Amino acid sequence: MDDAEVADWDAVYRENVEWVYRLLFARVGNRPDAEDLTSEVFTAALRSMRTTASPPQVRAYLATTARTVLAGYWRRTMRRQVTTLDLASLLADADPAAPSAQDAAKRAERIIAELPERYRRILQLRFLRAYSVREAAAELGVSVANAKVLQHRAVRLAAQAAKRLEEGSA
Amino acid sequence: MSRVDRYLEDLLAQRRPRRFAATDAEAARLRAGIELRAAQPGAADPDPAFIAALGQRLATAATADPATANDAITTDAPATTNDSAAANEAITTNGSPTTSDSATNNDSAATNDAAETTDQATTDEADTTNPADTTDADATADVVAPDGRRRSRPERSPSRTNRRRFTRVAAVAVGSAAVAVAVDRLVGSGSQQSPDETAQPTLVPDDGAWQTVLAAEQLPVGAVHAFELGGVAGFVVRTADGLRAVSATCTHLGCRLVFQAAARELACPCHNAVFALTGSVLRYQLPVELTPLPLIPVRESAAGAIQVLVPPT
Repeated sequence: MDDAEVADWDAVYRENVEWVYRLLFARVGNRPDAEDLTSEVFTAALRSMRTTASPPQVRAYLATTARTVLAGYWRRTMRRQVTTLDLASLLADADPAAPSAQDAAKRAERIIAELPERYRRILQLRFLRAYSVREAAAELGVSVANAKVLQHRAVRLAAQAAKRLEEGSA
Repeated sequence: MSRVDRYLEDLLAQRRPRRFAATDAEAARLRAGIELRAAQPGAADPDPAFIAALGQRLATAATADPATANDAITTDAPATTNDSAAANEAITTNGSPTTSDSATNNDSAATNDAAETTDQATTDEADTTNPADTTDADATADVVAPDGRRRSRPERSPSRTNRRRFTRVAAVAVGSAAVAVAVDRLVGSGSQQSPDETAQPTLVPDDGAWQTVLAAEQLPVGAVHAFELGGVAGFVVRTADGLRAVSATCTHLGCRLVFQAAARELACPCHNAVFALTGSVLRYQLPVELTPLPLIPVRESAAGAIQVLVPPT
């Protein structure tokens, strides 16, 4: 690659790495995996992308690559096929303009809004506010063991709520 | 603690979560947990050190030593090909553990919880995600990841123009394995093989035979006729200057082109690339380069038959 191409590629990277990372983070929920997958996406793109493509083309290409990388990740992580529903929501996410931090927070709130009070609280404290189990138990006035059971059930309910939300908007 | 709970605790602690084969219900719970965790304010902000380190690594890969042209045989298959493969297998029933494609051949690694092995599985997967790369020679260079762990990544040839020229010529050989294209017999813009987009190769098989497409009188000036002979698909057209035969195989990923009579163009149904009847690239919306369609030797025999030079059937 000559110097001009390297410079082009660097510009493509700098302009796109952040939204790609955020998109991946939103789907995997942890930093180590998000970083690995971001590396995978850009390494794959480096192999086969023409840097003289227009910015929308570049974004579309990176989004498609991210989708493929994510599909592979779910196969590896959970040793299961990715469902059509997963893919559809991946596609929706793949518009870099769409998912903002506020959107993610709003979606999360909507999911847990339907839950009974204590389930909502445990999820808010542990997932949205990064409380430890001990801190959350103290806040709710229950034992640590109770807090764990609460969380276990709350996650089940949240999964059902998320599903209802998806089906509602489908 | 259930496996889901353990996974979510890993997430909450921002550790790499431990893998397990999840049922549908479990997967739904994981996704809910991921969505909640990812909504934490500031959680999705990337680590600047990671961004910088990855940028460095990519720049290094991009300027790698041209002597290691080990991926000369790969095609420029973008991730979209794998994507369609992934999508196809994804529209099946859920929950069953994958036994299918070559990509998940690292089960032994995946059952280990150790992060190191998981990393390796990730790396291997990255290589096999693009099936084209499995044809690479195995020259790998260790790269130090930002977190200090060494990973193997195949070196990339930066000599993309050389690579493309070779693979574009090779990509013409659709269907018939008997077609051996002699690289040193490219005709087109003189004897120089220039890798720019205007160079148009001609497909000359090693053991070619002239096969009749149709009678000369059936092809008046301006007429276009599609053919497939000897494993080679093409269009023959009679212009004011004489006969021409051009490949009907899209130089992107090998789909069969369709002649659009009204516009007198050749269109690809796969990704909407459009070529002229001369073979030159007219329009495409792909972030990868396209090369012109190769020509196929064509002649009008003394007996009034239009013939093309293709491998014998």
